[in-house]
Amino acid sequence: MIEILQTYGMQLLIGGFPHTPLGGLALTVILAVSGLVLAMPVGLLMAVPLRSRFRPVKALAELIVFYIRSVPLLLHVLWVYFLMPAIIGVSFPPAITMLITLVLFNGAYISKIVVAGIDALPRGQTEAALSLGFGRVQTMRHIILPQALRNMLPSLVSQLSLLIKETALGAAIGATEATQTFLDLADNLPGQAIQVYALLALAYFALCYPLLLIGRRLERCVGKAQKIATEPAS
Amino acid sequence: MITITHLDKHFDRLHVLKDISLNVKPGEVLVLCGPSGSGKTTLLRTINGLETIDSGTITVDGETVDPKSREIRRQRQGIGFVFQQFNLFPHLSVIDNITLAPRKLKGLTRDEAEARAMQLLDRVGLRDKRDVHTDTLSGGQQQRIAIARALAMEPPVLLFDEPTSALDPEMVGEVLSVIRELAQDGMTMLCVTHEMGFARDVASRIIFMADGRIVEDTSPGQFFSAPESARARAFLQDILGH
Amino acid sequence: MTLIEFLSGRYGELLLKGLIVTLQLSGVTLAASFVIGVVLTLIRLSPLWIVQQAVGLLVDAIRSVPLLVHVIFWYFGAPELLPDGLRMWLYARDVNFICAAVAISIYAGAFISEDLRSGLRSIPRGQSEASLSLGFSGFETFRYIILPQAFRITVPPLLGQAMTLTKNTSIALMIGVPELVYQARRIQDITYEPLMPYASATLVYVVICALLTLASRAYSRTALSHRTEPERTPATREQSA
Repeated sequence: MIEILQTYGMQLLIGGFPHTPLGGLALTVILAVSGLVLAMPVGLLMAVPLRSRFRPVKALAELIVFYIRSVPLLLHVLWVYFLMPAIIGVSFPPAITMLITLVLFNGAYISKIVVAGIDALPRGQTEAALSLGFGRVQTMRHIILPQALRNMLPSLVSQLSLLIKETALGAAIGATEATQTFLDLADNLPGQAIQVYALLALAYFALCYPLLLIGRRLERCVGKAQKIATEPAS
Repeated sequence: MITITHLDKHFDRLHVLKDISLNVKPGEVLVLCGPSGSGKTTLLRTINGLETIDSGTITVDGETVDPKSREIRRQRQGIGFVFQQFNLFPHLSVIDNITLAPRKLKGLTRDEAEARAMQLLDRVGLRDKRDVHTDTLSGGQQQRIAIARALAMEPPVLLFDEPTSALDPEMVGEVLSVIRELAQDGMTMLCVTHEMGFARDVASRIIFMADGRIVEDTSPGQFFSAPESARARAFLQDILGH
Repeated sequence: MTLIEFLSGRYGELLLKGLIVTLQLSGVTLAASFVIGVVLTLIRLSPLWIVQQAVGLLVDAIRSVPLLVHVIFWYFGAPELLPDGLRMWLYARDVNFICAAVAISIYAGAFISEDLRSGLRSIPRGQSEASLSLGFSGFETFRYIILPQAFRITVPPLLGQAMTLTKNTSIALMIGVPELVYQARRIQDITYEPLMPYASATLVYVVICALLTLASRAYSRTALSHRTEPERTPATREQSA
């Protein structure tokens, strides 16, 4: 395995770059991070109609989120890959297709996280802000969202590790992210295919496991802070 | 009935029980009181083997209580415990909460256990709640069921850990009156509580604790009219609001 | 061509075949992953620190690697490690389906064991103390008091896992298992027209998820409705791809 790394390490890390577009593990990380960064505003925006007091708006938003969450990501990828060009007449390279899909898909999940984060705050917070004379929007911006975002932090960290794993589906449409790159290498090294697969699994483990541990630690911290804030001292 | 000698216990570095010795005779009702953090709840829990001890001995009915021994399960059946937070089993109905232990541990048939449970429900005034789910009950009702559950094992001793602290004020009375009746029937009891009126009426002895020690062990009359220690005077002043 | 016309022809038949494979794969892996999840959880209850840590690390490692990589490993890699006889036996059967099922079961099993464990941990300490104070043993406490409560609050997350698992079976198309999305793609290759096949497949998933969501809500309403205090639901661990 060390031998494979010595010979092909660079290829696994960045693909054929600079002769081809950036690929390999670097593309995986870039897709995941930019996917999360772009999905956050999408999720926040989608959370607005989800919390609307106007029923039809709320119902429509719920329906869209339910639709996105109930269809396999792989099928979403194929929709965007094959149908977006047919509908808007422009076709994107596989990596961009993957990014668009990841943003929409994770935006729907994050919107649910946002709503849960807001609903988890005690009603007294809103009431206290309103009683001080804050407006609804100001209350949301200065009082509720800062607290909700802090509570959401552990979920967002796990969301990043989900995104890293989800980028692997890029292989289905030929995006040269990590899985595709490793698979190509395995094809070229028939005798050592198992070692290449093992390296691939190890690479994902090295990326996701630390995130898992960080998420867990944050969950404990946030949980403790929450407990202190909401429980009366006895 | 219960004999405790030279009991010591630490939580990590915190010395929570310091050289406690105590003797309880059958039929006595002891009220344990004192400022929070004085060790009274911990002391009560050691008697049921819910806490381990560092040194000293606890005997109940002449048998040593040791949470690590094999005998602890049988011994616990004879030492009822009522919790501050009730701890009813939410997946069971009221009647099943009461009958589970007698059926599984004493081998009673369902009919025997239920007949006995109905008597206990009568005693705590909740006969009509037989089949409801525990979560629909008020706090006072839950605590009365918890007392019935402990009584179902027919223990010679009952331990109460702040049985009314988690209750709304209007429900305190109904729980205390159940405990009062048990005292009149001659049940041996240890009760951690801040209800001083109840303590004055029901207790045969008051055990006042502070900083992990027993500071006073005296009759209610003595304790409320002329407490010996400055700690007890300060405590009474705080709690009675003079 | 309307969707009805499309589905009533031979393409409808292909999609139906795909749906059956999807349901078979989901059913098999759901059962297997539940068993794996329970076994992992029971091992993790071991009093031995080293065993807890080892199984914990294994579960985390399984969860850290994409399902697609699990599938690739079990299909392309693992059979080579088998003794010849066993490998011949495997290749004489539906090797794609079997390897996909193994990969999905192990992956989902790790997530289910996490759900079960957080279900167990969400039962307040007072419950076991109350049970011990009545004289029940540690095992009896687990059997009569902890397990029934943990099971009830774990059912909704488990239905969520069933939903994710059903969606995840689509990844089996990458090793040629002819499930629903595989058939949709195949039809697209024949007709050069993606809309109808993908719309049909999408509709099927939406219906399956709607049914499971309704089941989960009905369960929460009936089994957990009598609770007045806020439910301590353990966080669901989303499997994702």
